[in-house]
Amino acid sequence: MNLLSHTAILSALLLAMFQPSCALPEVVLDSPPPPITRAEVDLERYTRKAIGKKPEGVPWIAHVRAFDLNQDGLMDAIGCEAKHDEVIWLRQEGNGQFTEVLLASNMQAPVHAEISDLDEDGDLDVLVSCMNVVFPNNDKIGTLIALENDGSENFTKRILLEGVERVNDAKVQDMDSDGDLDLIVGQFGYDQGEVRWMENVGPWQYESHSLLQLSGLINVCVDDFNGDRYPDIAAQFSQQWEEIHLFENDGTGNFTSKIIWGSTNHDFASSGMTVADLNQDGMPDIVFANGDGFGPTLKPGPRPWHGLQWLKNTGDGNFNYNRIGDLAGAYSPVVRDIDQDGDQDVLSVSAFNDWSNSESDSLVWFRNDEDQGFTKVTLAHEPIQLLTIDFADFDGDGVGEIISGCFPSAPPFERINRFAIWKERTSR
Amino acid sequence: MSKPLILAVGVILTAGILTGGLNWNKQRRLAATIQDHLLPPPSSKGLHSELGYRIAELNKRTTEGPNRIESLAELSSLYHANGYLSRAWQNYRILIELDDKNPLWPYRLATIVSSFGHLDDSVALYRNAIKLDSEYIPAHIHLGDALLKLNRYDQAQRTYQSAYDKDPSNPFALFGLARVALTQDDTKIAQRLLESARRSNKRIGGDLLAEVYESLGEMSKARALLHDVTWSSHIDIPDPWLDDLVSVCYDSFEVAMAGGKAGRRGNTTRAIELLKKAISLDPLDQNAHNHLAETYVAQGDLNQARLAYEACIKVSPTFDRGWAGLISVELKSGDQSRASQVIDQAIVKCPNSYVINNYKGEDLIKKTLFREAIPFFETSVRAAPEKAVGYNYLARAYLNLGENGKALKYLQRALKTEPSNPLSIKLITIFYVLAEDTAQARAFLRKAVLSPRISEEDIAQLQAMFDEKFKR
Repeated sequence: MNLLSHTAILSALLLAMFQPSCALPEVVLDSPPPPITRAEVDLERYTRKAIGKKPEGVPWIAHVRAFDLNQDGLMDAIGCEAKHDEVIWLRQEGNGQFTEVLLASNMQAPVHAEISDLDEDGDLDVLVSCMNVVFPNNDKIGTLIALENDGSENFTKRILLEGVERVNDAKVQDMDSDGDLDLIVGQFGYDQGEVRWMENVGPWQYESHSLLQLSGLINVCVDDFNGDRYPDIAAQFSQQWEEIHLFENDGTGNFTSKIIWGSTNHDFASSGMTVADLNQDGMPDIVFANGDGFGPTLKPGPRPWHGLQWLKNTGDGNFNYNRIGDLAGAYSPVVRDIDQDGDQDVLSVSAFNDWSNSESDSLVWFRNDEDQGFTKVTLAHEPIQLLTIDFADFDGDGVGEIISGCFPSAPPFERINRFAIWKERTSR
Repeated sequence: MSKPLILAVGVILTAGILTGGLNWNKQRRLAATIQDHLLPPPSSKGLHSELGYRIAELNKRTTEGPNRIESLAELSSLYHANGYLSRAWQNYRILIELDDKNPLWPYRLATIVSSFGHLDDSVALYRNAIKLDSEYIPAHIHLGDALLKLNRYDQAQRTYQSAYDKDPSNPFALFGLARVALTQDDTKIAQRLLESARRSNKRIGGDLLAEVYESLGEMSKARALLHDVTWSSHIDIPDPWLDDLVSVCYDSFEVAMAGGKAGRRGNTTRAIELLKKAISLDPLDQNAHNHLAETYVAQGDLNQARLAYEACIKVSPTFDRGWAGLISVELKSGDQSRASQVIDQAIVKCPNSYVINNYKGEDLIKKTLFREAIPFFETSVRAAPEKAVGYNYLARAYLNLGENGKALKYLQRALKTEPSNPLSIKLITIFYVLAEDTAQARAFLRKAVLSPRISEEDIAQLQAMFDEKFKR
């Protein structure tokens, strides 16, 4: 190679290298991108009205469920007051007026109520999960109680299960295709817990079948998750497990289990789960929250990973995970078409937040952009320490209302109420 | 100049220019990668001022300065430690690209990704981290956890085994292997592994082991374990690659959380350091002061505990837990007179606190002023109707007054409130033994035997009382 050609090559190289306008190819990062929460505030969307009795002291409304209990065409609600051991019926009298009726007292810290015609006599009974002691306790003190309706909304207590780890949730479904209603029960316990189904073997008689012994069960949900036409069970576990298990039913009450989601963060703080066809593809998806605020400090509080997510059902009992958005202290996910635009949105509350900041989220709507992209819309900053909500058309105008319940578990005990109805402003 | 010399100079010149050019190009690529992928900084509204300054400064140095990778690394840690997980996530992605020999980046990203449950994605990241540093055991444990939750039991087993091979006494590896064994219904192997895990660290495996004992019918072992186990006993694996992030955390709650975790692991010295840091970040945080005091109590340092409780009630004079702690320190110190003084101060500040009213009532009982104690216990049960403790005190006061009917009524209310309250069960058993009610005494003695919270010694005492009364 002569000097000339050498210089020529060098020049060409230098030109190529030092050409400032020469764009570098964009580097594509191999790993998956992070979820980003888009956020808005709309404090004007709803007006709030307290219903039921005025609080005396600090209420512990652990659960509220919208349901027309007396089937008079007016939407009512059932509430669990865990501190005073009461199951409450918020009976609607029309025109948005509610009367608080004590359905049952001495209910051993009720934390969840389901409404179903358990004895199939044509009226609605109430199935109540009772922890007996709400805060940490590993003793076998859990109870499952049915409130049997005599047809005139007089209720008789029947204990269906007792002396077990604290019962957190129970659902009703025919699990063995024999035409009667069985029960699916979740026991949070503390260091020990369990999920079981209780086979209906006669009037108010049940035989228990254990599915898994694991502590920290938050919710059980029942649906045909794998598309074989038989009801399956999904169970959400918190504590150090942070997993969702699926129990696939062969139609006769035999189950095969697997984990369908898990976090390796022992403080992920799973706090609630519901089933809904979020993407409206005909298959039931799972929407769940993580926002429990208790940890190794003396006061509960928010963590940066708290929020909402959904497991997209991809068929045959398989799911994939999608983050919906961040929400400190997220609890009680509810899936409905909030803005009547044809897609499914998600409502949630913050049970644990930085309440010294008056702008901390309390009630939040995750608005669906039709393609399961969500924008977080803060609807309210108070009342604080809401633990439970439901959504239904209480006034029959075709637009749903939110009903909320408050469970302040730590100071500040201010800006709180018991139950409230949130109605969308008519001017919208 | 000779031709060979010219050629040599040319080659050297070319090599130098090429090297410089390549470096320059690398810097351009580095700058472009950061520029293209860095997320905008968070709003400075409400941020700790020093944190806000550091974020702004590091964002600048990351995009403009000479030490961009170092700055990006520092910024990533800052984001991760202070709860900006999406930004930390994105920064670690960039660092994995630009600093691909450092295991910290794939590991930290893996922990965030697997925290959110993107388990498949996390497996590749954990494996990358292990490839870069196979000696870091927490990476193996977390990878094992991710694989277990993906139902990939064989792979999980091998991964936990690799951690076990490096450290056969590692309780987290043993615990993981036990979980895999349980998925195969191999209860006996799980029992052996969980017992080994608990021998290494008493806070690992107790919950699962209790279930295993019960399923094997070994009820006395289960009972003994459940009596011994601290509720929610599980602890996280010590993880310096993550735990060290707290050194750049400006959120007092998160720092206190880290302190709580250290305390749970038994490292009270580290817990105290962190709780002091939490207090320095938010000197008015009554809970952090209280937590610090409790940690001193756990260390047995009552003098420091007293100072911390005094600081706590100074910042929050109506915070009953702070007063209760201070009272307990005086009682532990054996200074009853000082305790009485503090109780009187506390009841003025917290007249409706159940715990302070219980202390006041108890103080009066010690002075044999049983009748005078009752109103305080009545206030206690009004303030906390869900707790058995106030009813237990009332029962004891009435027993001392010889009003057994009332005492029994309150014991029954205590047990309705908390059916497994160990003190209530013991008291009512004794009550029925003394009342010579064989059936009730036997029933509650049976309840005591079944309750793991009541010690074997207490049960032996109750049994002896029962035998003496009824088997003469």
